Amino acid sequence: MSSTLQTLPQLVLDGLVVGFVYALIAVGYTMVYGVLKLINFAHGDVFMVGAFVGTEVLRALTAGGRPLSPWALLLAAVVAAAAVTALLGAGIERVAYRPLRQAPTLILLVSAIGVSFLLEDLVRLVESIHLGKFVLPVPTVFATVYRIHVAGLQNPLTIRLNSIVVVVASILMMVGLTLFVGRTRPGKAMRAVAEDRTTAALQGIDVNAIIALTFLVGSGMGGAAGALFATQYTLVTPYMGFDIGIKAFTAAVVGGIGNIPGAFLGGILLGVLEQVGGGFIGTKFQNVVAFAILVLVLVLLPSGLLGERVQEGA
Amino acid sequence: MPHLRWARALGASALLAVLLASAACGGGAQPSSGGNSSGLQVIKIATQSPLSGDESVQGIALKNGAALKLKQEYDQFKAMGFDLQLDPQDDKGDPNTGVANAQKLAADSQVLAVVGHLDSGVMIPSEAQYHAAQLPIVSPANTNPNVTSQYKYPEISRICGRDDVQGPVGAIFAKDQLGVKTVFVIDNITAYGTGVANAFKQKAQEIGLQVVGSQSIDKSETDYSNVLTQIQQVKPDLVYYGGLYQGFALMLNQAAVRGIHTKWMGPDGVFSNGLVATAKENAIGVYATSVAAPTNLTPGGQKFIQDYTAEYKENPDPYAIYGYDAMGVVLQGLKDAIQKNGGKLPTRAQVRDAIRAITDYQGALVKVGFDSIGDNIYAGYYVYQITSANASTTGDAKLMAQYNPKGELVSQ
Repeated sequence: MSSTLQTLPQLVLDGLVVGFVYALIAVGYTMVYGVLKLINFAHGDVFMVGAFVGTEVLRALTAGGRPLSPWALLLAAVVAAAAVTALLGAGIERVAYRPLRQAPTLILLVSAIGVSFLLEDLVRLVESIHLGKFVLPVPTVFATVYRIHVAGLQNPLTIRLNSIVVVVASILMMVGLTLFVGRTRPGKAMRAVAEDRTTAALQGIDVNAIIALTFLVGSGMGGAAGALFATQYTLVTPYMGFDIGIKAFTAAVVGGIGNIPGAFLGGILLGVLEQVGGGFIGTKFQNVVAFAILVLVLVLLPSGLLGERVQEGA
Repeated sequence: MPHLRWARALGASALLAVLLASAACGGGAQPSSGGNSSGLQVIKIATQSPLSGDESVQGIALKNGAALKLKQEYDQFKAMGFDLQLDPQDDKGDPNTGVANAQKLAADSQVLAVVGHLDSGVMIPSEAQYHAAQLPIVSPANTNPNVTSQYKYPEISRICGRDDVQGPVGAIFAKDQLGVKTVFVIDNITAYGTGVANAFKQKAQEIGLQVVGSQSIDKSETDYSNVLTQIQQVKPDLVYYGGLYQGFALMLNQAAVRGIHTKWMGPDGVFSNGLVATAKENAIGVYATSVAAPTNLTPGGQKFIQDYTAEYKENPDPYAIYGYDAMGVVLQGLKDAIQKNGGKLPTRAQVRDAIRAITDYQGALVKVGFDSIGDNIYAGYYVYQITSANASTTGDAKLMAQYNPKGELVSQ
């Protein structure tokens, strides 16, 4: 028992890092749900596209040696990934969701699943033509590793500089998003649309533009998360979005879907539970433990940790 | 507006059609599909391996090896009046896809034999389909004991060894040659990975190694920190990973970051160019047991490397020659069956019996002779160590020891 306790600090630390990534993706689910009441199942694959864009940028910039500092490399990868996926997300909304906006939500859901498959196979096709393979190793950005000796622990805590960067970047994006939604006019409009689309339109808000903006921001954050994730876990595949997408979606639900800080909290909680549960009960039960606890949370708090009671459109 | 919408739908479907067409063209490269205007009778030999997905490096190598052998023997069969064709299937390393493909192949009467499956977990559920259709399949790479031992179908044979010898060979090597005392065993929750890891673990306990921990982690997982934290805590002399190269490579990379210094070992599934490509210098020093003899040490193997490199412009993955020799066995059986049938097109059952009757086929690398359940009586076991980060030659792997079909040390 003491040996499992010995590992606890490291498990929590690793859980936090992956939790912040879940959180960034969960935000995308929750924002889209907020304005459209749609579970955007393609969002996990938008994240995947972001991971590939980030990886390709890093490959290109490190192809002939390393003229750039790691900070510049990471910035370039994340910005490129966010830009591409923001446009991609808005494009998906325009092509796959807007024409179906009057249709029942289930139809939109089917459309989202279709987009999800399309993105996976498109990335597979493009990378196969481009490189002849579609499972790509990711160039290392920050090689620095910190080992912190803590009194009472046999092993030093290992923290990669990369992990710290992932966490800090996530927090910055999160703060930025909160300010954007809470303090700016477009953010206010977004909240208005989420609350009541028809009334918002009557107030002179361009609903289509605001929905597009929501996709732009949510997808961009998902894509940025993809690039960060790629640097952290060193391998990208076209199918990586599915599992992570499901987990981030769960995080969004647990946090209270439609609620942005809730999504963040849910993501971090899921990441930590997964690692700690795996460490105590067995790695193969990692997901089982995490999801069991999450179900329990939902039984006790049906609308999620920070969720208000949302009325489903009848 | 409605017109616009139609136009857009039309445009989208046209785009989709183009994409599908180009994907289909990229899929199978057949020299002369369909038409046999010269009056040749078509015989199709299928391959089943992952051509897409995580395991495609090995799966494509298997298919390429098989395709090369078929190409080389094409003229021989042409002289006998047959148009030999390759029918490559993508099983995606997925049991459902493998079974569906097997049904499709069973329904195509021109398919007389199959070379295939990389994953034991795909092979085993597909076996019933091959058996029902009397369609013989020769496996180049399925090492799980149940592949031949569970149903004992006459259609199922393999040219490689078995995990209930391969796993123990790893344990014996670790104790006798490496002087290891404690081991940590990980598997990737597949028929193959769990099977070989359990065989390793059992033998390790038998011969007095201490198993200080064991964990299972899904093969699609990218974050190994959980299991690494546990390894860091118990500090084993050696970590054994029962699985495929992709997961192993990620684990090695993440272990290096953690500063974990231990010996690493895996079965043939990790012994791939892909491991070195992903893990780079972290792969140096890794031990791998394998059912494949070193390709570059036999004259047949050297010729194979030359031919393969000329054909595909890359060095063969260790699995490629197994696809090549499995196809060799199939074509030998096919030739025997044709001869026995007086030069006429044989039935699947005849091909099946002719393949199983092979007792001493000398391939480019492996010698093949089948016992009553389709295991190769000449299968050997090898332990390699990766010595460089050169991905095009599987890290210039060095042969460390060789074991006979019973798992006894032959040479070091």
